[in-house]
Amino acid sequence: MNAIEIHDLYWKYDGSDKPIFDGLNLTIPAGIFCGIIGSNESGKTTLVECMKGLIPNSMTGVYRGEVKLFGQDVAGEDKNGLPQLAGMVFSDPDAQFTTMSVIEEIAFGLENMGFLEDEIGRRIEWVSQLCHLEGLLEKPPYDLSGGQKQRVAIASVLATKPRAIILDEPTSMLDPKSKDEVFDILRSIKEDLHMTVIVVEHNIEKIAELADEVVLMGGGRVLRHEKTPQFFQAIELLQANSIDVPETIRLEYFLYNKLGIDRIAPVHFDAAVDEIKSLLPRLTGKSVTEAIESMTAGRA
Amino acid sequence: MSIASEGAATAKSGMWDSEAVGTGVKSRRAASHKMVKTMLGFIPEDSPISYFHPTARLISYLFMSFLPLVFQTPELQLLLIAISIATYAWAGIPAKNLKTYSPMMVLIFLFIGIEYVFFPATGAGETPIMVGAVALYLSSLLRGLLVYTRVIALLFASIVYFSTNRERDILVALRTLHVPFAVSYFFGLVLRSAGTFIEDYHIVREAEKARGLDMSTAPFFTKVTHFPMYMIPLFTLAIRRSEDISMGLYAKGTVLIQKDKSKKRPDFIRTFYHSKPADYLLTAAITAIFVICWIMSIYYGAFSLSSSIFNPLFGSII
Amino acid sequence: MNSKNIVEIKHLNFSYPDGTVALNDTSLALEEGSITALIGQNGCGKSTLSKLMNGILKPTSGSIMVGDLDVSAGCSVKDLVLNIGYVFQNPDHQLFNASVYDEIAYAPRNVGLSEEEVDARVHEAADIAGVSESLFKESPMLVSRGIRQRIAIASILSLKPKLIIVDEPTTGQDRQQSLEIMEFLKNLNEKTGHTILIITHEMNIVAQFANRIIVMKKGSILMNGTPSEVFSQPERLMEGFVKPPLVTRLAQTIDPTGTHSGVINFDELIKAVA
Repeated sequence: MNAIEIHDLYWKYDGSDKPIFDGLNLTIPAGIFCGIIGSNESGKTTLVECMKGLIPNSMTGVYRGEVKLFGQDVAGEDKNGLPQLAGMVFSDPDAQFTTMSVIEEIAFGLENMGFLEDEIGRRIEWVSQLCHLEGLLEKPPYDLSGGQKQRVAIASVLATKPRAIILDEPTSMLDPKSKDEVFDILRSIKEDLHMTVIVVEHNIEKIAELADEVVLMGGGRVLRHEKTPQFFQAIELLQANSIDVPETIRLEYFLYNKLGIDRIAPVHFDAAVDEIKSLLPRLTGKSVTEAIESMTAGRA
Repeated sequence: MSIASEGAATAKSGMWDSEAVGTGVKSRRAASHKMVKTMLGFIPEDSPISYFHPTARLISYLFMSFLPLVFQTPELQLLLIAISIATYAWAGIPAKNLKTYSPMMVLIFLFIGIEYVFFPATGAGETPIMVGAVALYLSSLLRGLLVYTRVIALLFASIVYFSTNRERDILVALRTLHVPFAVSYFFGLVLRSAGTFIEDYHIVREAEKARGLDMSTAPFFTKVTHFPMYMIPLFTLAIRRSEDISMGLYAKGTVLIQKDKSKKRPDFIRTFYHSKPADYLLTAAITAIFVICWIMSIYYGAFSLSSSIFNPLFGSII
Repeated sequence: MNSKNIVEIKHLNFSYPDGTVALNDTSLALEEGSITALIGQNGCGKSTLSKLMNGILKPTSGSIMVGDLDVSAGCSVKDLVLNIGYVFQNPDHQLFNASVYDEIAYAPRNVGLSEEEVDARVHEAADIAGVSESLFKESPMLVSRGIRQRIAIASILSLKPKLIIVDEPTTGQDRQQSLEIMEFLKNLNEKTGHTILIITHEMNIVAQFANRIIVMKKGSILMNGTPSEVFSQPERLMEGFVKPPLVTRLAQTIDPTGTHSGVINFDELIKAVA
């Protein structure tokens, strides 16, 4: 079963002249980590809101087509069980924290879904270890950093044990250390929980590291959707859509181009560095050190 | 996990200890000197007041707030004030913290004083005492004293309650009293938003200063007329945030009014609190005192101003 | 004061009322016409330092000179804002008026300029900030975030301060918008000579646009130099929990000797390889 199936989606906000989507199609398999990237106003946030069912259930507009979340139509009559299928984390850590302590916040979603108190306690214990929230359970929101609040938001979602977690720019308002904390948890979710993870992000370096597949959105359309290594082959398309392609990948394809190599470049940092190290001497005829020296000679 | 443990609890170390929350005071009193944040300040983690269930504390507060309205004598108001101060000290909060409220008490005194001096409610044929050009009517002054002590008694009851209870305690009390979930949740959201609002307010003040506006030297009238200007950015921020909050609540499957009334909404935090005989005793006692005083006041004319020990000091004018 | 420095800070100390030491014997200078990036982990003292510089906070000890103005000695709000402009991170915190025109005119009116002067400054600031005059009658609350940010900048430019402090201008922006804002600030610096101090976490932005970087750690200056100088010392940067840009890390990793680690620009890297 696929996690997400979107067929011919049309969506126009009330009062808006143009639709955001007009015939969008997209399929995301279950169990993968999928990154959604694109410039602002490309439709990324609206897309994940459709996946979660926020559109059309809590917003007004013209809606046609079909969005299925693990086979269930999000706009169908039967909305029971939708919250359990996928949880959502938003970009503003403060707006998601509506109670007065971490433990109440995590319990809130579970209470909404009718879990009994004993089960709630067990799940809180589990996610607090997973998201490194031990020692923070009694803290009020104003005593937490942005990164800690986002970890609480993720924990609140994970506690409901959904089949998928959708995150809309979860690190955009965070400092670098907090960003790393959030990405570490996403890595744990991917490697240990094998949950479907769908993340809208501007941090392309991290998406390249973590994602199995990447979707490029532009003008309300899916411009590209590939497995991650294949995705980054289309560097010109990505740069034309204001995507900051990691320099490791850019350098690899630059060297491939110069050397007439036609293959898919590794996207993980360590593998890319090994690839570059093996290619540089072939290009320059020098050792790696000499090659770097010649690179930086003009800069002294 | 005790109610008052801040950051100390892990799920393993006592969250499921049914003796812990609200009852763990005896075993932990010797150990802890940690302070826990309340609505108006801080309270020791092992404060004796935490022994009582939040509902018993809320009911006590409500009756302590109504008793000043039953008593018509300043001395009984002073007694209630003394009880509040004693409770404050017993809770483990330094009494010197009450100094924070001195400016408010002085302001209230001035306001009531001006009202009862310059706008007196006099008895028929009463002769005023002249102090320069000011006419002082003893009956009005006595009534002013009553009103002032009553307001301070009300104020102190609220200070004690909000200084010894966290937001969670208030919410648990409301939910235990079967206040609808939507109401208690709304109340909690207001409390949560207050912190963000205050933070935004400080940033907006700094931003105004960065635009050359120095309210610290402005006349009082200018400060008052200028105040609505703060509302523009604060409301803009609140409106933008409220959209995010509502989407977040929807995403968490929040339902404020349950369609199926037979299904009780789980309440995890309430499992931390257990009622004890002492809670019932306290609630029964305070209720009985209030009912008895009320009946005596309404039907037997007890606690009237004419029977006050202050009346003779004012020439038995009432 | 060194005639080339617009800001001189000497032995600055600041502690909050609860005793937290936010700044510890901090000294630095900002050259006139420079674009300096102030970076460091949350809680390192960047915001405190910037608030001390624009007079929102008063130092415990030490001195802050901005031009001829001794900020640390206490001066009027009018003198402060005419010398130091501060653009807050969230434009919504600093929009107070019903129209864009009134918003940009707000500060000059507050400092008592004549209406003719105010009008001239509004048009000039809007032009520099890229705020179209067709928006003058619109409500600043209803335009896009990018425009709101430009309005906020224009409202500070209308005061013609010597130093402009910009707090995290690229947070929440995509790459294109981040580059637009930074290009705008760079052009402002080149066209008008404004000294700009940017508080930011974006290392790519810092590498591309700043000519000086100050790294802070626990209330002190950890590093102070050009981007190349600063990013070529990754171990020292890690003490401040700062990671160099990816291109720098790439160069530092592929070079086994680790000596050529001051690379900050990918185009230069490519040119050298080609």
